Amino acid sequence: MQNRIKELRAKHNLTQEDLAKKVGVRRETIVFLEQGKYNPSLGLAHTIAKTLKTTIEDLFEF
Amino acid sequence: MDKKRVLLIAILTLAFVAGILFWGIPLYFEGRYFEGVSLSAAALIVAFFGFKMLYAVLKNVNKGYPLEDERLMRIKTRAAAYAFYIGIYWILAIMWFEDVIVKYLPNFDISSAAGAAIMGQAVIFGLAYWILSSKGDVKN
Repeated sequence: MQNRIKELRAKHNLTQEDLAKKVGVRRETIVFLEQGKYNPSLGLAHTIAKTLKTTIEDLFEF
Repeated sequence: MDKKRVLLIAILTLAFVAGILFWGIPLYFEGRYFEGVSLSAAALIVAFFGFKMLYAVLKNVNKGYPLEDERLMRIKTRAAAYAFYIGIYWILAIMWFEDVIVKYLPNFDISSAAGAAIMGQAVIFGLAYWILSSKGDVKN
């Protein structure tokens, strides 16, 4: 599943480590998410979207 | 909380390694060299990789990351399922090839078979966890 996490993270000047700590996951999970190799749960997708001040629909391409 | 869990895992790993060593070393002195050496070697391998992994986990916990997140939970569940299902075939293989095993290991008894089954499942779990976590996610 494609997403805009990397783009929006850069826009908010957040590193992968910062985002991982903010949403409560390991840094590797953010890496796999950005590469589109990991599909997050609805809860995690919502937390990431909220942290990056966007919506799930805008963040992920279904 | 996470540090306490890491400590608990370290103690369990140590107890597991000590258990295998206490089992393997007397076998060696009983003259069952192959079983003694292979069990001791297995214990040392488990100790090496176990504490290497614990060090990496502790480093992450100290940096403020969670010990386990939803991705790792998902991977752990799938790895445990693989260990269970493949482990059944592993146990069946030990039963099917009993004659061949006994031919080469005359002292292979029920406790050795149980030990081999437990070790086999542990190895399958470790391998599955490592492969799945390097891929990133489990495919449904």
